[in-house]
Amino acid sequence: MITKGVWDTFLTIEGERLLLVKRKHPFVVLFPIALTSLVTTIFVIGSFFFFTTLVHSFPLFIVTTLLLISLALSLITKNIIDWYFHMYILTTKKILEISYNPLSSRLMNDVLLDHVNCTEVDLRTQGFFGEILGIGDVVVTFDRPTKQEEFVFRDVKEGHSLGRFLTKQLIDRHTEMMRMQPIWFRGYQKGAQT
Amino acid sequence: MISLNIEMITSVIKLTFFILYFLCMLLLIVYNWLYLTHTFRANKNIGLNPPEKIRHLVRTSTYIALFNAILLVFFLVMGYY
Repeated sequence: MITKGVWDTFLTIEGERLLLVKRKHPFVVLFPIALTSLVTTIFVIGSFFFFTTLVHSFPLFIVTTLLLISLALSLITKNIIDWYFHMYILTTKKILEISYNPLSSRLMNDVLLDHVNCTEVDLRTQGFFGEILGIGDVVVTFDRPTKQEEFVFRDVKEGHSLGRFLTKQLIDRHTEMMRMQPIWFRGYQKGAQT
Repeated sequence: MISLNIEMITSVIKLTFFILYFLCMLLLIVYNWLYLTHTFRANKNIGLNPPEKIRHLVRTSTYIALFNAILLVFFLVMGYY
């Protein structure tokens, strides 16, 4: 469940252990790359016909092709980087979403597990590709004193196994802790004064 | 007279294309440079390093745009359009 890499920088609390590091499914980045390549090819073919039949200029066709290739490369790079810098991290103390899109946005969303109560772990899979490739969203619902908050693992690979893993880590563990430490009364020892 | 006008219009269209492309390439070079700088600032911003291959990809795009800009100026100066 832990993607290869150096993740020590995210272990900030004492005694914290890494449980999960996940990115979105690679299809999420491969599809826009394929689409960009296809659109670029169509535009190159279109420009060939435009610059050989309507505006007769072969140098302009060469320049257009190079410009399109350059633009496509920049777009592909942006897609890869956006995918690479978007990840979900679960440790024993917190759950974290990081997203960094250079020149456009930065997101750091973390939930301290000690301060919330996880109530639900839901899975939703949508569409043909989602079903075939096993892409799904896992929604973790937290109960906070003031409101309910959802933490969504969007478009992740093997959503079913991730859902099971999160249930085990977040709900079962919490239930086990509650069983060990009842909060509504203290157990008394035999012979003690009441 | 009409053919002369059509030729003039065509060459104006071609010149407009060249100027627009030149501006596009300059913008693309600046964008690539800024993007690369900010990508490698990710370590400071979110504590992660980008893959080294990204640097090659962005540089390839920048070199193509630079080569294209030079080619464009060459075509314009030599009148090959």
